[in-house]
Amino acid sequence: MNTFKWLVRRELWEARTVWVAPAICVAIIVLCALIAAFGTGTVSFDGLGPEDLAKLQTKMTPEHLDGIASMALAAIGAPFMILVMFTQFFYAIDSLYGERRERGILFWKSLPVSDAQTVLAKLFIAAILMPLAAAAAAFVTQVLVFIIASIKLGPLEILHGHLWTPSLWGGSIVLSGYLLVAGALWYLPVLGWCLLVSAWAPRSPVMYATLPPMGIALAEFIVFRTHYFWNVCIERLKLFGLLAHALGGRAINHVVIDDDHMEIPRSLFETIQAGQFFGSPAVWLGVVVGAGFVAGAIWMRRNRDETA
Amino acid sequence: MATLIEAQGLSKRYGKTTALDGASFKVETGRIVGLIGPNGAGKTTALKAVLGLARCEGSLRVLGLDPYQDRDRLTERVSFIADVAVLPRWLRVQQAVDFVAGVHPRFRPERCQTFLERTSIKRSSRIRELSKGMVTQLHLALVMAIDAQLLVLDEPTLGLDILSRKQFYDSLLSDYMDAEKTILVTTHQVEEIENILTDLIFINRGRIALDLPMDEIPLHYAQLLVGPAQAEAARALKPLSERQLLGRHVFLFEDADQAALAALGELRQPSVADLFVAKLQGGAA
Repeated sequence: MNTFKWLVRRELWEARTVWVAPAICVAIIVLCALIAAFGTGTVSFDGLGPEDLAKLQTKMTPEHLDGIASMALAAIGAPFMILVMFTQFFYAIDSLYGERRERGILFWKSLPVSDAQTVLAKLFIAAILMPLAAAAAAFVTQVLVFIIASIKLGPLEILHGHLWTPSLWGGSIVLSGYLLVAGALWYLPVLGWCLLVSAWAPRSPVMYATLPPMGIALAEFIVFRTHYFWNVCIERLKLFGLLAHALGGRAINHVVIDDDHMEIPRSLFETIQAGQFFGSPAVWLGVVVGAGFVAGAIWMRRNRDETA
Repeated sequence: MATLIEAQGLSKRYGKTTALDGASFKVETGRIVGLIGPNGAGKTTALKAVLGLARCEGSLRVLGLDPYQDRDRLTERVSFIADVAVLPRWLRVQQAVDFVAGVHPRFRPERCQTFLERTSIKRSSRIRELSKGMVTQLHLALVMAIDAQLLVLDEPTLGLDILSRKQFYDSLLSDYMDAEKTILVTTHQVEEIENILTDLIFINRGRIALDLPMDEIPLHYAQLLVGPAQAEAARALKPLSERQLLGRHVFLFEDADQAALAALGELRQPSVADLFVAKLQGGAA
């Protein structure tokens, strides 16, 4: 366990993107919020003027407003989810290739650390620590932006009294925790594949990671005229794939203002579909395939002959 | 004396190249063994096999274990410098020391500290900011602070100046070596390690060309210096090699009658370098 702690610490020495990228993201979003709140420009809310907002207010129940507040939290969290997808995949794809390129691998291999420990430490960084750091950064941003909004609500004035409810923040934290677990399982095959290619590729691991799946998809199309493999890959890669499996889209309220229909989500917390997600064969099949890739990466690091 | 490494019929091919071709040798505990060979002779492959980094045909036991199968159990007891300057460039000196201390149960930080204090290496520097010689010094300080049963050094002093090389071998003998430890070292600068070695192994074209304790070399090998008049007589005794030096002929004999040689001219103990040249030329002829 002590060894694992040092391996993780070593990764953090090397891969500073783990915390630098989310920190930059926090800075940008908070800066934008500050400019929006205190800058000279005016902020319009989806093209609605103050009168429209006042009208909205009369039509909306507190439940609707809770829903809008939770949507605001989600909107702040979303960039972090997208960001971490990129950083974790690039981290995973470079991690085992980088130590070979820099030839540091023989130094690491001279120490009593097994290949399994090394690869699992890198997987831990990519699958758990990076999303956790991003979630923490998202939380800090949500708090800061809501503080700014509380000081100067502007067009969001209708949300007064709905920004700091325990159910909103409690729900948001539960949702983040759930998405961390779901994301780790969902992306395991992608991260495992990245590690495997990283352990094996003679050069340019990004190319070696992307070309073979594209080749398989093309071959499938030529032979069977189908896109099955391609669709599976894309579904697995895109953020919406995870959200579609982990969350349900049914928690929507309809609001009718004059003749306009508006769809406002209820608390995002209510969209969690844990039963559906953890009961899905696709999820567990992905975990099995991902575990196979990780085992392959360990085997590859162990057996890839460095003198060849 | 316990046998630490036992290799029998070790073979390894990379495509069409034969790196090892049935090499057999033994290393006993408490020895300092020099593995000497020309470039491409199979030195590095032999070391990789011993370290469990490459799978070979034939049988190989290191500390009673199969180094490839049981690599994870061996890494704590065997340490190595496989090549110079393989320390990761982004790492800081202090981080390198902390990490090795963190994962290696046999690492002694105070000894590493002592070694580092003799250098001008700063703890806060990144590896990439150090000179080539400093990187080597750091690596050696890290490895010498580990109480390993077997230390494998592959060209450990490459890039070091003469003074640092001498310091390194001195401290290897005085601060590191003891009866429990064994060192296997390869280098091209044979003259510098000649007097610290206890055993000599020559490897050429994947085969063991010579395997002797240093103190048995005079029993088997003799260098004879004669004037031109005696050259023909010396040649008749079938020398391993012959060369000319300042008008005299220098012959190297293997298992020859030393009394007969002494009658012809001046007898000397051959240096490892002389022996190396003679044995390998003989093998090539």
